[in-house]
Amino acid sequence: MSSVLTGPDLALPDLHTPRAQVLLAVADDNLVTGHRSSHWTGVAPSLEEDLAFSTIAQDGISHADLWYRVLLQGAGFDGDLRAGVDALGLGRDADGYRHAVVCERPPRDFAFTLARHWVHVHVEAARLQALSGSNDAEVAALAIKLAHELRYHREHADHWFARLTGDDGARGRFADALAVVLPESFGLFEPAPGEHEAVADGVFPGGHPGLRPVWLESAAPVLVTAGLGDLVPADDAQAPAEAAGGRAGRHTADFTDDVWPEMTALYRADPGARW
Amino acid sequence: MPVFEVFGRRKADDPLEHVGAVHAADAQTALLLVRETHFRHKEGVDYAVVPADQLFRLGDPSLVTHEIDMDYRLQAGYSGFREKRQAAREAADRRGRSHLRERPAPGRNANAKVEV
Repeated sequence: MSSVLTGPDLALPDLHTPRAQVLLAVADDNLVTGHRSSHWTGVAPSLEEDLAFSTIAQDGISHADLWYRVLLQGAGFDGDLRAGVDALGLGRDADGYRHAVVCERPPRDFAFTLARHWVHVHVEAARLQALSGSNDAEVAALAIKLAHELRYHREHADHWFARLTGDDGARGRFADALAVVLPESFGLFEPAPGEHEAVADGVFPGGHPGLRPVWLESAAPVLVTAGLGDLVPADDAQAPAEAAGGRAGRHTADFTDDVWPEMTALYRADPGARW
Repeated sequence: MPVFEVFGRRKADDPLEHVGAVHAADAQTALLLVRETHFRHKEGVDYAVVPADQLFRLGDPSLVTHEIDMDYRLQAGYSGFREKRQAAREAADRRGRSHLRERPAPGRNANAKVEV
């Protein structure tokens, strides 16, 4: 992997292990989606929705923080945990991030944001369900806690899905957004580097590819019921080429020239800074 | 956008109390958004919403104001009652009347047997 910028006297554990790569993928999806969602703070359609969606954005970043901790603690890291988490979240080169490309897409309009939110939340729920069965006790314990936290996010995503698909004015725009988001979301089911070993070892039962049928089974009937059956992805659907490869560190300019420089600017200016 | 009044409980056995309002297109959306608008800092354990236009308002505020002293309705109106009663007893004693004298309070003796 590419390099990691750390503060002075910080020795990170090996990040190339299958366990570390899987947990980086989990954390990075949440960090980057949370960062993009936070762009609505102050400009969401209503004050109340602003508060609700800002919380969801913050929660994504907080969940990432907790996964970085579990990654470090389980890898025998005995340095300053805050500094270690910051180095993982903010110190990596852009190609060291393992999130799916769909997470880094700009928020565009609220329809697009809510379409991505709906897909992401349900894939995340399936992933937490799988990780709850991990034989890594720390991973399983955190997955169970976060599944509880995710309930409000699901509630919020499902609510807006129902409202936007049930409203004549919003329906077309939301369907257009889903038509872009759904194919790109297949990047979420790519395995992290070395993931098959983490699956074989019982750290991540089923792995990312295993989430795909679970998610499709839950999402397809919802789309059909909403009259959007033509958007149900085919069983062999793949992410379009430009939205694939995120787990391997291949990101688009939406990340390398936009999210990444903005998110990491302060840290890179002063590695190890505390705030 | 419609306004919903929000009522919440601090603890499970507290009564619902008014805590504020939210704008929302309908009651279900209001219920979704109240959590982060009014209960994001552990302010309570339960809440409910009601459309603001479904509250039946008094309308005439003069119905709850008073022009005369009605302190007998207020706790403050009974301040100094012990002293007033004591003064009345002493006056009654001086006049040889006994019905205001100290006597056991009725029903305060838990062991008293009731004759039927």
